[in-house]
Amino acid sequence: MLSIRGLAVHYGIFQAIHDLDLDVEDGQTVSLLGANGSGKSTILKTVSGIKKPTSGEIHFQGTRIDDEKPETIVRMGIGSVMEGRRLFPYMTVMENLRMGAFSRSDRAGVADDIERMFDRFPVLRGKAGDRAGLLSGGQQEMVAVARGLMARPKLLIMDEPCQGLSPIMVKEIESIIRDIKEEGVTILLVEHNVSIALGVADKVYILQNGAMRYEGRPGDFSEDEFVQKVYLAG
Amino acid sequence: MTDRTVSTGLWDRLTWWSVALVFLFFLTLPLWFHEEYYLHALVNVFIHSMVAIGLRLLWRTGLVSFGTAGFIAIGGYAAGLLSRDLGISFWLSLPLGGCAAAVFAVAIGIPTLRLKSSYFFLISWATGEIIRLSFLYLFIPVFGGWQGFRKIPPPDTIIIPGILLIDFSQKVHWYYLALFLLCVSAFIMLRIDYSRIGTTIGALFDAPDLCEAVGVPTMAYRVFAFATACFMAGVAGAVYGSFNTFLHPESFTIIQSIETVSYVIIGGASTVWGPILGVFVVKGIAMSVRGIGAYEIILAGALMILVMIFIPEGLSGLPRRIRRYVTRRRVKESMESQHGD
Repeated sequence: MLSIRGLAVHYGIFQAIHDLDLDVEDGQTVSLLGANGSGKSTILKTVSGIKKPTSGEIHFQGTRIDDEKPETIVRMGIGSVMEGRRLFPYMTVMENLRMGAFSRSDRAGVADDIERMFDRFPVLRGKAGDRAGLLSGGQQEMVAVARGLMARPKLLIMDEPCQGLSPIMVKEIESIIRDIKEEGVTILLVEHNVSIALGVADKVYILQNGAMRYEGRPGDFSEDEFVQKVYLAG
Repeated sequence: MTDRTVSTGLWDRLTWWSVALVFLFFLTLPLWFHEEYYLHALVNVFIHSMVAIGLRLLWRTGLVSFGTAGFIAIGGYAAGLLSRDLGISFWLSLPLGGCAAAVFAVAIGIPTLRLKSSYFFLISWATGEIIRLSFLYLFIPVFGGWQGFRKIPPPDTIIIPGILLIDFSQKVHWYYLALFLLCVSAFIMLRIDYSRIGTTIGALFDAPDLCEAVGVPTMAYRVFAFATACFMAGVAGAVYGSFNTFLHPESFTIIQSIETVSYVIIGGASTVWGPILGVFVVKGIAMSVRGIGAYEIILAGALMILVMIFIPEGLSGLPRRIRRYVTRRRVKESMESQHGD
């Protein structure tokens, strides 16, 4: 579904990503692991078109997308849940969900999907008219995920959805990711929490200083060995 | 949630009632107030208000233009040329003047609106100056150069036999024309505010990168806002030119552009009424101190700094701020009385 070949990304003269290859198959959940500054979020931003690569190619369902605008990429079927529970803070929950469906023109379908989101996240139904910026961290993450799903993405990219959440909420988000996966949505996940990243993934990539260091399945090593690889460069 | 909804509803009703009362006041003003100086000044206030509410739309995308005066000039010169030299009716020249400014804005905006706001500020400033200097030094036989662009005709007479004759020979006719155009502009801006376009433009201010992530064509929205702001400026320029029968490039310097920005900052950009309030405050103080002239920009600058420090949301946000303060006090008093019990 998603194929990245020879990707290089620069911020000014600093090279954040070096000659990176990555594949995500249809229906798979792929976790990207790495220490802070290893380039995980940069990869997600590049896939979603917000950051342009210096060189390399990104193909989505056979179409090259690395030179496309972000709005075109969303319309092609790549949705995203950005890092840090990014919401439109002054908009209500309902308006945030509608913004998630910005690329869609089927009003009836959007209304149905909003209902489905409220069924999936019942706590949000009573908060539909509340400003998103006033919700708790967990509820904000739910809105962010729901908004990402409103575009009916074929590939959902999620950037640290469990960051800063309480253990109970982390479990809740993990269960949501599993549900989305079961519905057949392909997921590219960046997550610091190794336990969750391995728990939901079919394939794992480990990044170090912008270069791919390891590619494999979650069962290839124990969780401790993964932690060592990711954070201790073991 | 309920409390907030109710109080917001009450707040909205109060705002609308205030707007209706103010509108009624200005609608009836010439019936009982005939001082020409103030009517003339109010025409200028209404014209500047049109420019300011247009600029507010661009402000809401997170960008600010310091070249607005140049686009007023484009509208003024274009409409003036059409009506004076080509004999086209003012009523057609008016929107065409706006369109000329909007087309130029699109041509400038497409390559520049993707830049960071600081670069856009510099480019808009340079654009405004290039426009002004072009009218000063290029095509002098057409634009008049230092002599200015003279003898711009007034609008065609409006006649409803036996009922109405408006020939724009009196200030009161201009007063109602400018008030009407301001109301139309405010109505258009309100429609935009409450539409999906307005919501998206608001989102663009809060989180531009998030807008991109959900598939908003951010460039298209910025270009739309810039073109609309410049269209308003162009229409205002067309009225300004016809009202004064004369245009001179020195009326469209960076100082005028900065003053336009000051209206938005002083009045506040959260509502359409904010920038209009800003114009009234700056022009009102300048009017009440006759002869302030060149010092008006110093006054606007000083007010702008004070408002940015003490009321960042602008003067239109002041009642909301007072309301929040009163609510907090009430809660505090209630908690203190409970502790006392």
